[in-house]
Amino acid sequence: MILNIIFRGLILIFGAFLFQVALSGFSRKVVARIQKRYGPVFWQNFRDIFKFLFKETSISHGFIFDFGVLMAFGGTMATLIFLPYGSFEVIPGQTNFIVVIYLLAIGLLGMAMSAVGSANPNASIGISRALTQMLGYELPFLIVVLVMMYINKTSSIGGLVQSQIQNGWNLWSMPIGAGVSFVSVMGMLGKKPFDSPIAPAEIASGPLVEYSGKYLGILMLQHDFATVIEVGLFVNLFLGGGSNILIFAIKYIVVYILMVIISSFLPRFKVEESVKFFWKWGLSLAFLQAVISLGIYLI
Amino acid sequence: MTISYLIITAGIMSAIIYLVSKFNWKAGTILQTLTFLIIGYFLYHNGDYSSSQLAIFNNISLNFTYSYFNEIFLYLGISVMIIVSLFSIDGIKNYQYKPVYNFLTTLIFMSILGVFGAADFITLFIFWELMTWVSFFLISMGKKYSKKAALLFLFMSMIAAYLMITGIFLIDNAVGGITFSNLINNYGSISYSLKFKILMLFVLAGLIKGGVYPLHIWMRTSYSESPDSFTSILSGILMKFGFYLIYLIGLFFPVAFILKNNPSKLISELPSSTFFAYLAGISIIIGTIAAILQNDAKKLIAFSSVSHAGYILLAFTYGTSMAFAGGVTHILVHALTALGMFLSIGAVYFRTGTTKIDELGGLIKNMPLTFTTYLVSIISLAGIPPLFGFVSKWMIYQSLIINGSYFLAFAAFFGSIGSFMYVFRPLAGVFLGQRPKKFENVKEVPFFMKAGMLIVTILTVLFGVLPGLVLKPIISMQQSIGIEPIKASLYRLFSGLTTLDMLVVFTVFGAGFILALIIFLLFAKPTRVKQHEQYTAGEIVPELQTQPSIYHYAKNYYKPFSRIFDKFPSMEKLYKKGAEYLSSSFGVIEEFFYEESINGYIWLISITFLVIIAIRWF
Repeated sequence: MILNIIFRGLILIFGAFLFQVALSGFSRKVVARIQKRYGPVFWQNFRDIFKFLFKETSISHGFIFDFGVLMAFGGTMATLIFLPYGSFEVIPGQTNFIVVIYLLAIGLLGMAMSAVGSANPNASIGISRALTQMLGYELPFLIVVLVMMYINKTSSIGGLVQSQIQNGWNLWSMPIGAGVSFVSVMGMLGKKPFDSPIAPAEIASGPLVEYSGKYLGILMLQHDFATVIEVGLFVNLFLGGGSNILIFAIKYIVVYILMVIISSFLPRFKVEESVKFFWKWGLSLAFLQAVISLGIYLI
Repeated sequence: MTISYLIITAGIMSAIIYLVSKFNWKAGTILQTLTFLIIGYFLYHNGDYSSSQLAIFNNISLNFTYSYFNEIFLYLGISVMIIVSLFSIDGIKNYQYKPVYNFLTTLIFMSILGVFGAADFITLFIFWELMTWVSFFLISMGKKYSKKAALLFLFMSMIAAYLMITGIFLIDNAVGGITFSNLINNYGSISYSLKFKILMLFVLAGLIKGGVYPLHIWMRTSYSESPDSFTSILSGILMKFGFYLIYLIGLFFPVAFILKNNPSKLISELPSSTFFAYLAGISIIIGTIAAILQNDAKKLIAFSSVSHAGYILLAFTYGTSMAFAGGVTHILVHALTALGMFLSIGAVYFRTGTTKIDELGGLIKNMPLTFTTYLVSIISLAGIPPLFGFVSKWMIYQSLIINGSYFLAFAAFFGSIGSFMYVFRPLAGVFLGQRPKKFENVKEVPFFMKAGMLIVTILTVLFGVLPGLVLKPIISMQQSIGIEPIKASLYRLFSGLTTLDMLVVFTVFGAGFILALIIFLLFAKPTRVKQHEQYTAGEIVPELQTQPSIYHYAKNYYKPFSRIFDKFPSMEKLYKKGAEYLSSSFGVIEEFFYEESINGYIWLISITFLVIIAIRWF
């Protein structure tokens, strides 16, 4: 039993690695075509990651710099386990939504700790922006999901997927909420227009400024795993997951590429602008969806 | 031994501890720690529930009880006091009046036993007041502006005391007795409007002590100005007195009669509960925003306490069995985490003499254990699994989701995500980042301070992985009063919606971390560099070596965020404006009453007597 779970967990992590790294390589190609360039080959991201991992020199700024990276990477891989992928669940029945959201935060906290531990002010500025922006994008998303969990009387992601198999996708029953969550997930991923925390031209890539060699490689992996969780959450919550892992993957690709396309022609918000954007539009639309859904449900 | 003997012992020991401390303060503090330990052991050893009385006059006595409803609070109080006392063995080295400090903290311990062990409202009130007065002196022993802070604390506490004593008189009038059991038995005979009045009086008193917005104004100054080890007691236990009062009232008032018909709702009979739930939501949001904007680490934690007071109140007024248990658990969580945070910030103050975030930096190299304590505490406070704070947050969220209260859930989510922002600020500003030159030779704190902090850290992790340890007494409490208890085993929690398995969460996180470590170690060993070797876009910055603090990003850390709230009114300023208005318009009357000379007072007193006699006469 336990060996089985460990085996499946490793398979999942390796599969997510192959899938998402290839997909983000492919998305670079998509962005290039939008900008009328050729763009790199789709396995370029594998090359980047392995090049960084096998570098002979990498710079460390002390214990917390290393520990934070491990916390971020380990926490994100752990979160991966608690998500259902089509019919594939690593530990059956353990898909608690609140655990996923909070365990994801430990990755962010580790990353923040490590970056600030490097003592570079650019990194600190980036982290302060990232945390501020988090207060923007999480709230509308959580409210929409709360209403969804209330209506379906379950707070496990697996349960929400099951109820969508019976009642149809939440995308159709909660269209406004789905839209809000889509934008929120873009914020989570740090896609434009919400990329002020890592703004390369302003603050030298922000949190990533001091990383090199294997640290950078690990953090690229961590970012890819976090992407799997965040987009995977959207697919599970609004697009009904999938009856098998292939259908799940197809839905995932559609959502991810759509986000890449949208973000490729948007400029960047200032950080307080993006918080205000999420509070003004995101929150009001999320509350509107809540009122409508609860009204329909109670009638 | 019953509670009354333990209280007498504590009272006697306070005098002995004072005398020993006069002789040698360290011996006195060690004696204090031992006393607390032994009293705790005796309470645990005679584990059976019991009641006892302490006769003062012929037919007046103080009633105490050790029972299902106060068991967990008694142990919480004793454990916090033991930890803080252990910390104080080295921690009060710089204080001016060490023997008095030890004497007063022992009295605080006595008042904790008295408040949590009381079986009637007058006993509760007497020890509550003891705590207020002792705290007044303790707060005024602190930093530069501590006398002013202590006055504000006393003023707010007096309001709470008046409200409470009025409520006690109303209960006495209505049911003819002030013991808890009397109230439960005669609950049905109280009229609805009287019930409402009593509830309002007690809850308001509790809110002042608990520091819920907009009655939180004493917290900022009292927390930041009081001596560091006392701040831990203040936020770990004394603030919880307010919620203990609300808990008692919530427990005794409706429980005996309403619950039999409607087990899921506790306070729902009274319309005020919705109002207080929303007040709690507002308290969470305002406390969070105010905490984010602070620059002093202790003030920051003070405002975070306002926000967490909101969580506790929200859970208590929300009324489901799950939320109620979540509220009690959150009291424990906040006691532990606030203790950890204040102790570690106190340790920083002990070595550096400041708690201003932007004056510090990079202390992790000097104080690794202090850093660890702070880190574990904030992870728990922010409610991140697998630590203790996640358990209570999860329980509160589950009840919010079950009932679909999206505004309250919004407030709870806001406080939770906002807490990442404010807890991270001292972490970044004090422990990480560039270390100023003057702090290069700062040492880790002495042994006993380390021991105190280590215990807090271990408990936070232990209760996180095995929440059943603290949920078991809560479940038996719920069974005793007849609420449907929450379902939980040693490491599993069940709500109507889903199951939470903390052991699985902990194991998976541990496995993820180990996998990350393996991947990390597989590749080439990194080179360590000094803190001034930074990416500076190719420019040479000579100040990086000579004056590293200018390269430390800690001032105005959340400047963009604070710009959003530029035009936000402050409650404290509003109160101040109100006070100025009052003194300008009614200053004449004030001058009339507050005479400069003694003669004026004698004149006033004679007038008063004449008026009284005249009223009696006619």
